[in-house]
Amino acid sequence: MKSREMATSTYKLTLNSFDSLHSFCSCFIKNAPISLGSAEEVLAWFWDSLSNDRLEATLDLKNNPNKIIGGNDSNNHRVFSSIKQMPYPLWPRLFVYESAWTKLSDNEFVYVWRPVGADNKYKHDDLGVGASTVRAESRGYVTIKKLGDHSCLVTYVQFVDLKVPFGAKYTKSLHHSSLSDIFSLRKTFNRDDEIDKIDRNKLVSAMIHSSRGQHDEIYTDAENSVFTRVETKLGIKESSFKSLASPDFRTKMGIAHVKGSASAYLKVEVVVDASIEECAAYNFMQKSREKMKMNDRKDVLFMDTRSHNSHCSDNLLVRDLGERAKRAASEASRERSEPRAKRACHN
Amino acid sequence: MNSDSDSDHRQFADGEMSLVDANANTGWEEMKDSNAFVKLSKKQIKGERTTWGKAVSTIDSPGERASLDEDENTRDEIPRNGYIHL
Repeated sequence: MKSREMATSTYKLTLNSFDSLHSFCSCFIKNAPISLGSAEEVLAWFWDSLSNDRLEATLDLKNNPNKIIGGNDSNNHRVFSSIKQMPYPLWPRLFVYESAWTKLSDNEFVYVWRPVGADNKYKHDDLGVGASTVRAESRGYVTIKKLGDHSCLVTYVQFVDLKVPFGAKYTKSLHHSSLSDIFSLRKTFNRDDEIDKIDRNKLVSAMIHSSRGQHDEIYTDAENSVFTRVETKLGIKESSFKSLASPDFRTKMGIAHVKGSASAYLKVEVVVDASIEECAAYNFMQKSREKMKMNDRKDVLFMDTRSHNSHCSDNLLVRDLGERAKRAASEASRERSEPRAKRACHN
Repeated sequence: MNSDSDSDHRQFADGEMSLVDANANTGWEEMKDSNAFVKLSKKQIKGERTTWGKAVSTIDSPGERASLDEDENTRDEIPRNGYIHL
């Protein structure tokens, strides 16, 4: 217990030191990503498209310049020119577009852009662009809607016309890269670990209070029947488990087959440096950011969790187990159906 | 845009937003580059040569600071290819 308290205090100290270090660094490093986000800050991120960190993310900035060439005196209207190198055999494309932002409602902002025609003001010569550079068009909008105090929903919509007769495949690549702004935005304002920790701490607190009898959790008959079913299934003898090769020497893995059952029982044992409430909360939170990332794989076709209360939730996970598993399942179902067919013949 | 009044900006925004409805469920086809947190989709409108692209995500907006270091977990979420953002 003493060592645990020491570990906790060390962690707090490290966290505080890190916090101070961050404050110190952010005063001197211009690019320090500070998330003080809100809908306004997300809007500012889009508006400040020539910020240091976003220009840094631009590949080959020298040949793909992006600059402000006009706009009104107000803080919400600008005209940009941007040159994009295209894959062979296309010539580079020039985008001249004006952008603005405005408030749609108390809870929603919009940032829009549209192409500016090649009028007297923004000709190729004025912009210092070669005649071989083709003028293309881009338009679209981003809506930023507040979702409570802690998050906002960002919808980014765009249309790009590269002025190519069959430009679908080029546009697809361009869409992919332009839409990837959202990935950068999410990274800038990312708080996944922090939010998981807050949610886990709430659950741990509920578990501790319940075990102390301060706020007893009330279980329905249906919930209690789940415990009974699981306890029955867990009543498999220790000797029934055959050990499996484990990728970690500290973790023991085993598998048990029960006669007459097509399924197998898997068991994993490991010593974790955490309280039982913390372990239980980690396992119970099936839709934490971390687990969403873990399940963001091709073989996971669908995942959803419906929470009923702090101790009961329905989890649905659909996985594609691959061709081998499908073949095995079809063979098993054929084996099950064949004896029936034979019996039917005898009758 | 000659005037910098709010009504002009609102008109500009309404004009662009009326071209395609991002909230309509029909016609948007999900792209394979989506992940658990960012959904990418495209929509072909009749008579147009190219498609509209859409990205939707929920962004955290706390009053607290994020890590100074680059997050190892999110580094791979950003697709890398030969183009750059507009």
